[in-house]
Amino acid sequence: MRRDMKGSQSGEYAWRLVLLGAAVLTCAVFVLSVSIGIYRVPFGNVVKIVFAEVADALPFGMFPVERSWSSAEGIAVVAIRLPRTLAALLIGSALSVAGAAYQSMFKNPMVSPDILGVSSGATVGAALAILVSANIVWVELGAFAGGVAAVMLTTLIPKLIRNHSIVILVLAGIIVGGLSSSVMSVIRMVADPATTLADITYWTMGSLARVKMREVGAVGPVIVLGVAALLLFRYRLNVLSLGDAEAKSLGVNVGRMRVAVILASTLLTASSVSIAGTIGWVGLVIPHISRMIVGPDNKRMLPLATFTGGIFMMVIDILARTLAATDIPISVLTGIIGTPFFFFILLKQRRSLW
Amino acid sequence: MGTRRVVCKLTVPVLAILLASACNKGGGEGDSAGAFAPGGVVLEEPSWAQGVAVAYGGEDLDTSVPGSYGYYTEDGDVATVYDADGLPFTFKKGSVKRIVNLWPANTSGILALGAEKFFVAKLGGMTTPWQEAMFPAYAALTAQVGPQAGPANAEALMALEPDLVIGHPSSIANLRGIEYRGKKLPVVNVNFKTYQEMKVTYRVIGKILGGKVEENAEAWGRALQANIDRIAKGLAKTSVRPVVYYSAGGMGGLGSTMPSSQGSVVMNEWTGYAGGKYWPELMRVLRQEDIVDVAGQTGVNMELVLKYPPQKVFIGGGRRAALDAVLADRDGASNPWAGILADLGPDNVKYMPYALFDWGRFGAESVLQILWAAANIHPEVFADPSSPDYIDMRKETKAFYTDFAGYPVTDAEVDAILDGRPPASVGTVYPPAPPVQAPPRRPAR
Repeated sequence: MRRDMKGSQSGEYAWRLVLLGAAVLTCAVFVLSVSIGIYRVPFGNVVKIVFAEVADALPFGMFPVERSWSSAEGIAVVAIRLPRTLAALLIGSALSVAGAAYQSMFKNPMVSPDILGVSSGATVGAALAILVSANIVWVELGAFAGGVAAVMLTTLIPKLIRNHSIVILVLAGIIVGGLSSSVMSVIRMVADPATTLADITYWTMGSLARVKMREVGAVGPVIVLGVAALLLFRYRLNVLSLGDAEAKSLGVNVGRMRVAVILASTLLTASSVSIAGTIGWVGLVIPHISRMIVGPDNKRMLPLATFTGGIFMMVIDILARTLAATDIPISVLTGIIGTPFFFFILLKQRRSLW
Repeated sequence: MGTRRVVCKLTVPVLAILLASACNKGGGEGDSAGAFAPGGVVLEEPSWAQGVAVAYGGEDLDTSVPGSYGYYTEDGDVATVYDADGLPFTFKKGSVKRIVNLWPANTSGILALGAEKFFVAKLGGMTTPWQEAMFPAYAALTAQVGPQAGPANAEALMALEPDLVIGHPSSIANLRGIEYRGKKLPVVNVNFKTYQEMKVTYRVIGKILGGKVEENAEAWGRALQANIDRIAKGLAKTSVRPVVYYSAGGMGGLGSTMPSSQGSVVMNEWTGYAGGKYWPELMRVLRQEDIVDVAGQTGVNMELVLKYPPQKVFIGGGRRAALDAVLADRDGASNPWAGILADLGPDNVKYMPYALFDWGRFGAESVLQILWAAANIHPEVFADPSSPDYIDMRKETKAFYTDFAGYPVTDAEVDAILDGRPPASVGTVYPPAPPVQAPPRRPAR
């Protein structure tokens, strides 16, 4: 399929069909995610409950809905599944698009959104907030601030040593990541083993269990804007992946473009980590899956990654809350599913990975 | 010449007297030699701990202030009680029949209050062998909840249709904000760190569940206070306050202890009530630093233990393996704990009792823990049958499990519990704990 999509009119048609299929599948998984869980809610009631929420949001009571469901069913659908599913969709899209953009910009298929230290910085911010027993809002703000601060520090290092090459930027990311790791060790060491240490540990494993509509409402617009910005940059990312000299000759301001991509990706990753903790593998694996389907052209790969990332995270969340009585940490599942899948991709693509 | 001879003759006895005096006082700071004596003999307080005041315990919490933890009101059949977050839980009296508990430490308390029949699920992987023996109906529950830490699975809880979910901040944080058109999950936070908070917690649970559970909750509070008063009376006869180190196990082995945050932790309380000084709290006061700075999961700074050696070491959590591992490695140079334990001698190193929960942690057996700690910190006062303050631990243990748990323990079971052994060991010959011996000395060069 990938070869068929190159250039020709039939290829364009196939690409549009794939994108439409991805959109339909996203909707289907969304409905599935809201419909299934350990607490059984008949599908008819799920539809009515969601419809009632939408109808209530409309003015003048345009569509009155007769309430024939219990409060517990309403809680399960509206207060638990809906915010989690929306968050999974947003976070999956955010991390995969940020990962795809970084992989193009750094011309490296092994790059993930964490490369500039945003995830580790966000984890430090959240852990510090947990350490002082701050409430969940401050933990989320701490994570966001920590992520942004880490990337600012990473981008400051090339300026300090007056070398703006991409290699120095990546090395700066490793420095900041190492520093964050040490700070995390100190935080773990001084954390109360009976209380805060458990919370910090759980945070680093990622979870959507604490996500409420308030959080989705707060980070949703940021993620939508960030994804939209990177989708707008997808043509220029193609040019950027040709190398700095070629990009400049084609009229792209390389420095400004790089700052814009870093800014958008940082916002996306920090927003995700702030409400769900650290989630590994999504930003690395999903771009590869998308690339397998439509090829390395960012014009097609980035839009598809938006959908595939969302689908992947929604499926992971369904598993996290239905496989066991306990809420399984997200990174446990992304790791278990992501690592063999990534190995499979490497095996399949070993001759033409990039 | 004559003068020199006189000075030499005088110097020898003066030095001998000074040396003997130093030995009697237990040496200088950090020197444990001579300070530790076998059980039954009054220990002297080490010089580094003398005069250092350690705070423990506190006044009864005032539950009459609206919104305070335990504040209770009722209007006809409808009652409201405030939890540790200061949030109200309103219920129709007698309507709470199905409960789920998410905090392992609290399971023993709820069971001991006689609320076994209210449970609709058990905490996965957290049922102790003695809970299984004493509360078979609870142990037989097939529905499980969890985890011990981190957010609980909200839908899994809802599927159990509980009237009440009892948890602590970590496990219920995600449940708090779940709301649909004014309806919320029935959740209460009963987090506690001190005995006074534990009393209020049991009272809150008693008020909600009512009947016998409420009666037991009040009786438990009275029993705790009676034991505290009883020990205080005996302690008036001695001013010595030995330094006690509590080992909680964990990744740091014997080095993992429970940090004391300004005295508010039950380990500091039972040590204090029983006439000792809690080592982490002592470090906090003495060095003006929280033990958290030197402890955590990885264990305390060993040099700190060497500099400020404890006089009693109590090993909790049924963690015989931790001590056995230390004793198996007799090379004192590479394993400082072996040397410390050998210096202390077997009477000052004890496994703590363990049944419904670790007696020294946040469970219902705290009532007994205060007595056990007193008998082991001041055996000359509380463990001597000829003493007027003698505590018969076997009798007290039997009475507690019969009165609260409704389980008439046998003599053999009491011995097993006091020795920190599981019920499976009752009636069988259990290998005794390995004797604590001094590590082999390095050959002189």
